[in-house]
Amino acid sequence: LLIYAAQLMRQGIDLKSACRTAICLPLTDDERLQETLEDLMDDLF
Amino acid sequence: LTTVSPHPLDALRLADPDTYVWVKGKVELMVPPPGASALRLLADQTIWGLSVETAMGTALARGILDLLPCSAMPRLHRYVQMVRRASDTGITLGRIVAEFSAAVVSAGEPLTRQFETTMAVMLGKGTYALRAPFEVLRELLQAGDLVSAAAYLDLLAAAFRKDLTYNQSLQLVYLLPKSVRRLAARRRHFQIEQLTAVVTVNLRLVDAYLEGLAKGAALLDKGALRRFVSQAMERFERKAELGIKFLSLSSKVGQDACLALQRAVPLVHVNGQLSRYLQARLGYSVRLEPLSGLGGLAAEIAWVCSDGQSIYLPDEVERFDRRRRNIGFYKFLVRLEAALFECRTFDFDLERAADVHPGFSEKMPLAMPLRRIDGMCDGEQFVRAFPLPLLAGDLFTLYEHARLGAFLRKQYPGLMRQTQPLLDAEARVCIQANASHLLAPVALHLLLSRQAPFSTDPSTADLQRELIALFDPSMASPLGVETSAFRACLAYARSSRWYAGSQGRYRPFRFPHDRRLRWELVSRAMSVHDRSAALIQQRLEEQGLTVYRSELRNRLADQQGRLSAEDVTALVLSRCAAARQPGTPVHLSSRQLDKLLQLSGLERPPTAEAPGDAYRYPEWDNTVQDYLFDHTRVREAEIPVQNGAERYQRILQRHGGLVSRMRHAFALLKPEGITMLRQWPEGDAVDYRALLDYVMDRRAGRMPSERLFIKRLKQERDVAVVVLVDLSRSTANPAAGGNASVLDVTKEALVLFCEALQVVGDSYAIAGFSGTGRHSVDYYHIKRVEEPLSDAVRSRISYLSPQRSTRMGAAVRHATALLGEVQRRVRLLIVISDGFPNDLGYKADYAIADTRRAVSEARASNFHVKAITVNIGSDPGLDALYGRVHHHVIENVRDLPDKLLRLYGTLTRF
Repeated sequence: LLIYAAQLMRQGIDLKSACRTAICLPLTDDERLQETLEDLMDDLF
Repeated sequence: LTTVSPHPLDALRLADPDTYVWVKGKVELMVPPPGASALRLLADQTIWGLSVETAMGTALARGILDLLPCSAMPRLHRYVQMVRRASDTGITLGRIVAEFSAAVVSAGEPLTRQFETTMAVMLGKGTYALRAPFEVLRELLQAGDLVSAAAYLDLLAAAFRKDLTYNQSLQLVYLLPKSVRRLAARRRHFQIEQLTAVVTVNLRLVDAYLEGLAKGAALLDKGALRRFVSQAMERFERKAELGIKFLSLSSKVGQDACLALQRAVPLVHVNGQLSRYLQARLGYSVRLEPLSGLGGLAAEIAWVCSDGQSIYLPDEVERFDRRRRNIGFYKFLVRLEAALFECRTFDFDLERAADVHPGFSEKMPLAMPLRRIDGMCDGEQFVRAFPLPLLAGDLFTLYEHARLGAFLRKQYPGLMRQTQPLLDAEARVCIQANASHLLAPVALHLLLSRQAPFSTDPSTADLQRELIALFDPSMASPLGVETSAFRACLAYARSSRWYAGSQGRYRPFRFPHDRRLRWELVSRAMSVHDRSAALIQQRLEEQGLTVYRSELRNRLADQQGRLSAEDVTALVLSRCAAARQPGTPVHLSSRQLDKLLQLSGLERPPTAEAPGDAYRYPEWDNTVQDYLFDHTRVREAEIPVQNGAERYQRILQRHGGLVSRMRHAFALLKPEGITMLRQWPEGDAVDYRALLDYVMDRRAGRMPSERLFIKRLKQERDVAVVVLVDLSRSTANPAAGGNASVLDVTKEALVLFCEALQVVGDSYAIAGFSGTGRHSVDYYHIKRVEEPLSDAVRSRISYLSPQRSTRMGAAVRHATALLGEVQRRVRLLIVISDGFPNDLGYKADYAIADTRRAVSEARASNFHVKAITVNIGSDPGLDALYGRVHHHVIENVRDLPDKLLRLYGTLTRF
């Protein structure tokens, strides 16, 4: 997933969108966990 | 000749010596002492009251005594006048006024006039309407809430002015005070105002309004609640039922409207989300607790604090005008506070500080090595070692927060960017609150990256620059909390000289969001493991092994008080590495360690275990939203087989009719062997009815169905069931409508159940559970799955007896684990209990959350879990425990045998 995220970034997708698409969404479809992952991403970028 | 003037209370001594002693005792405690005229009034009126009725005299004396310290003579006269006037109407009324009006009179006008008007209205219904409502009025006045008291008087007047039947009036007499007493002080006055509005429109709305408050409308602020209630009124005018559902938040429209107006966010609403965030960021759980849980300390803490195990947050946040922003503020606090855990602030260790910073001991005003004070963590000891502990504490917080800030900026740039607006706003507050404080420009520079003007005094300004220079951000991240303590030592030496020179008294610094390190809380939270760690450390030192107490404490906390020889080796090497010393070889046999632990009082010597296997299961902790691993210990126990099973036979005889009826009903459940499936696309014979339809359809020119076959299936019941019986002490209570206990009736149900299942041939097990504490959950096998219904089983059922408490989660997990080994298409777990789970450290929401989790786990493993609760009325809490459609409440336990069999039949019918 990290490699996919990196590939998206190289194609010009912004960091957050790339991580959300390639890492967060494939990991879980639980809305609450998505929110937690989103919070962590907000911390990082 | 000299004449001694008589004491004003002398007359009372003559009239009633007992009351005199009591009154005199109260008067002597008053500072300043009351004047002679007031005392004379007290004596005269008490004597008059006693002459009417003893209780009246006492009430009057108490009322005047309450008024004496803070009221002038006119108020005393006003009070006496009110009581006298009421007594003219009747003694009971006089006594009530004497009891309750002192608090009103002490609040002054216009409340007293309002009280009189309201009382006149209420008297229209009768004297019985006064006492209960006035008790709450007195409570409000004693709490100093005059606004709510006035609103409450308005409410009473509005309610009792209406045309009421006696029953309606009586209901209001108890309902209104009870409801007002429950309201939270902060929003009480406008909630009462809206209750008045509701009462004025229609009494039917009162219950709906109170229900709505309990469900969430209580979080609305003044304007929002007014809008919400007026929306409900509009609906009520259009259609009464709509308005009631809206106001009681029973309708979705009502809930949505309330949520849209809601601004305040209670901690319970965001607890789960914040706990998940912490778990994800830190890799372990941290409890989130409400600040109110700290008791008296909560008043000192504005927003947030931590104690190394929990983060304490406000019970609710209403800082911003939008709900979303208030949720964001909770997140903001937790995000910043998490850094304390991430950077191991609470692992501060004085010995490590001395090892890492060789000059540390000389800078500290206490001698090293330390003589540790029991029950005090190293942080608290460090701060208290200085002559100005407040200054030392502030400096420690300052440099530690600066270190954490540098860490956050490096690791979480997004977090810092997002929190910047809140920090900027706080910077303005800090500048105002800390005007002319020595640390103000230092804190603004180090914590908020703001340039604040230095002091106009050149020497002070130099000192402030010096304090800033002590923090070198490039050194921040690799060094720990001990470096912050070292910097605090250096800064303290300079600052205390400045305070000594300026003759100024140290004023505590107000940190951004009032976030300071509160070591006294850390001491309290870690005291148990800290004490054990101190004892073990001392024993190890006697053997020449040195470890850091903080590391030892953490190891003990992580492993629930257990320690291995490998742990000791790792801790010794860790200390050697920190102190830059060569690793000392550790020679500690496990026997030596056991002895050492025993001497430290950490582990009990092994005791003889009762026979039976023990199993460990996790438990769900709803406060941290996580499992506590291996938290419970379930021990399989046997019920001793007694001679014979006469009781079993007696039950069978007593219920002979029901048994034969149930046997017949269950025989019908048994499949006949072969099931025929008609109109099947393939099969072993032609379905002639379908064939006939086929021909007819073709003739009529319609498209015929091609499902023309019959399939014969051999059908078998493939069911395994375990009945789990609660054997708690409460099952000894008598069942409703008879002398037999709940357990006796449960036994009857089990007997019938066994007999019925023998007919149908399903595999089944019966087990009981009880216990005390998490280490001792007893699981009694009454009948194992593979065991036939023997005399031994009958005897065990006969001799079941109430035991101790109910730790239901662990029992459900064990039953699930045992039945999980049985391969069946349908697996069923039936729990028979007489109430909610309850055990040591296993109460209320915690117990419900764990049991619900255990039931969910069982369902996830393909079990059907059904619960039967007996001998209590229906309770919404049971929905939370088992799920809305998965439990049955049987108020009369005598229905249990019949209901159990019916339930079983319904659940397993194919």
